[in-house]
Amino acid sequence: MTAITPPPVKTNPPKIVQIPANTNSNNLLKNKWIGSFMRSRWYPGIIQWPTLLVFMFIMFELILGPTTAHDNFGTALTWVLWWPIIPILFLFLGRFWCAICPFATINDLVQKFAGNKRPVPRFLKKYGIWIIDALFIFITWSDHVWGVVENPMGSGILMLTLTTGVIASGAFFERRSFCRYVCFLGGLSGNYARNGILQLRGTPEVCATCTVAACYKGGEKAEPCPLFEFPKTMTSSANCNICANCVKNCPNDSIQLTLRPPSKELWFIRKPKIEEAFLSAVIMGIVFVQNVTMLEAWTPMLAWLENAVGTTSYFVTFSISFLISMLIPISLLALASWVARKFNGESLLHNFTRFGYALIVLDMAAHMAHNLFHLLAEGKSILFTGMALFGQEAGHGLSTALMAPGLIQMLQFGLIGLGFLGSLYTAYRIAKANYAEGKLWGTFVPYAVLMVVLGAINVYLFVLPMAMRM
Amino acid sequence: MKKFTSTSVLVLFLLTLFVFPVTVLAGSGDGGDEITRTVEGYQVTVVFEKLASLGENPIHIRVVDAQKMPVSQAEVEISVVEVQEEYVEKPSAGQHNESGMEGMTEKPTAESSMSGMEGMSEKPAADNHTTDMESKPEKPQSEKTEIHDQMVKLAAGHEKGEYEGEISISNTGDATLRVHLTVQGELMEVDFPFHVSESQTGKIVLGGFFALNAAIIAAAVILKNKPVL
Repeated sequence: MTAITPPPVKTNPPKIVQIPANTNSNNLLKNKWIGSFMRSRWYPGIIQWPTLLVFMFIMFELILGPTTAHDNFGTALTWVLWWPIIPILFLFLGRFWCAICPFATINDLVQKFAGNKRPVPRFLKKYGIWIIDALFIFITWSDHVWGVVENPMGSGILMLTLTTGVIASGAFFERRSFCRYVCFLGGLSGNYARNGILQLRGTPEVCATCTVAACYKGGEKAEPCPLFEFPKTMTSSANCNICANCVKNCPNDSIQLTLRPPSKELWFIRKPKIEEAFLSAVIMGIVFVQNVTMLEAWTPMLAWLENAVGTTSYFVTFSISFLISMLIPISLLALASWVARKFNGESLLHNFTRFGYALIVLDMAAHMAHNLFHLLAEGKSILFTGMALFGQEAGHGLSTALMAPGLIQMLQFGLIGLGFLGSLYTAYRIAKANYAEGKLWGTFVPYAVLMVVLGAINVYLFVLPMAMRM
Repeated sequence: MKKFTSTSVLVLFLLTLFVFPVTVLAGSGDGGDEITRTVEGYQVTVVFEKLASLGENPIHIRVVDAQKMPVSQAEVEISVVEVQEEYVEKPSAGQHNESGMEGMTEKPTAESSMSGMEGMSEKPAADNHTTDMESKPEKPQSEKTEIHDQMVKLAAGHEKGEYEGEISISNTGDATLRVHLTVQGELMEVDFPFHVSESQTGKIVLGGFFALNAAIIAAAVILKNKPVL
């Protein structure tokens, strides 16, 4: 009996580097459950598709459901549940939300069927973060002037506009260009993910000899990195959405997913960018605006401003308040940078750019503290509006709070305290990483004072009674 | 060039239908409405800035006296009385209303409207008690139910005799705007019937975005694989 052996097939398999396997014991991908789940074809789709369905429901509810935010289930799900939870997700899972974001899913779908996959326009690559900065400021401003959060239709239009943006991007440009260069939430999540505790990186000694670059280019198992990242050289989590495409594609098992202390990435930013530092100051300004406009003292403040400027136009009075709120953290950061330059000899802009990142920790804490109020003081509105959807009258005259106001306030102060300490320590580590002993303290102290001032403003705002949205 | 399979086209079509299943509908006019009524010599004019619709509706009220002089010292409150026609099954013999409240007929007053009357329905007293004559099963009958919303106090407007504020409307159909006018301690009530039509705005918005997105996708399909300009 003759054994039939098939003729050898000529193939060009990817070059596999023969090096010791990745043995980092902290690598979460070595965990049997996490590793196999993230490498499976079900990930992240099993979370992505239900999220898209929920999003569609929310969008319909916002546009066609009850016209008052108080009664709209879509409003409750979006602004009382999702929005408060999102910064918590960024802290623990980095930019994972972006992997399952319904807008990104729509982008991918349109791209699959109609995508032109053209290169990202150069101006987007160059000015992407500035566009995100501008969009973030504009959306926050328009929320107050035209009503987005407190008007279901406004929220629906915002979502439809973003949908149109991702459809256009997915239809004409490659990968997730919109998410990387335009999405305002992407910019926010990028900044916050730097402070997050999850880190995905290639193993340097494995990647050093790799010529395949399947992580960036994609392979048979998965699409290329949707956010144009190259794990081989990646030093930041700002643009990694933990989609695991690189994990699936890497023929060398080089990718590691590890835990790290919060804020650690911020201590060693290799190439700080002014637009990212500016965004962190802007976020602080936005937190101020959101807090101030919810205060019970906001109405008398507005009345005072109306008298001062001689007009009752909310467009004018809010815009002035908004501008002041934005300018406070920006100018305070600039002032601290101006003082620091006397000690370290570097320019104001250089210091502003480098130390702007230290604000991110306090930004995130203040953002969470603000949203905690919505989640815990208005949380039951999710149940009430959800029941109303099925014709069940519930919650009339009942409190929407899940927790006593005093307890919520304690949690808010706790968060602000942690954020303050985190920012303070980050400023110290940035100074330590960049300046010799003689310049270290002179550089650090102005930023320490800045953190004290910003922390105190936040604490003061949380001391004052707030009005509810739902 | 990759060819579209019929399945792909179908999936894409269904997807777009799923995302935006509403076709573009013509919108109704958005002009306001003005109604005038006279009560005890006072002429009360209600001005809806736009046609009454679900949600918050800005409203202005002008009050002039018999000499057509603006009345600026009045206290003006408004409430919406929504009239709902519904079919109800009459209770059979022996089924008594235990609360005893349901059948109460009372003229709505400022006090009752303000003390948590929201959603409470009032039925004619005759419905409260059943007799032997009524014990046989009856056909469902149509009843008009009045639902009173909370009262809203209007603020003085920019001109003399003008008052302004917002009312929240939560149902479509026929409704009555009840103006509670207090001049020199005397309370007068005057009703203004109006109709709340279903807003088409949401459908128009969805339709508009659907058309825009469909155009973008169509353009992308046409331009696919053509050289970049």
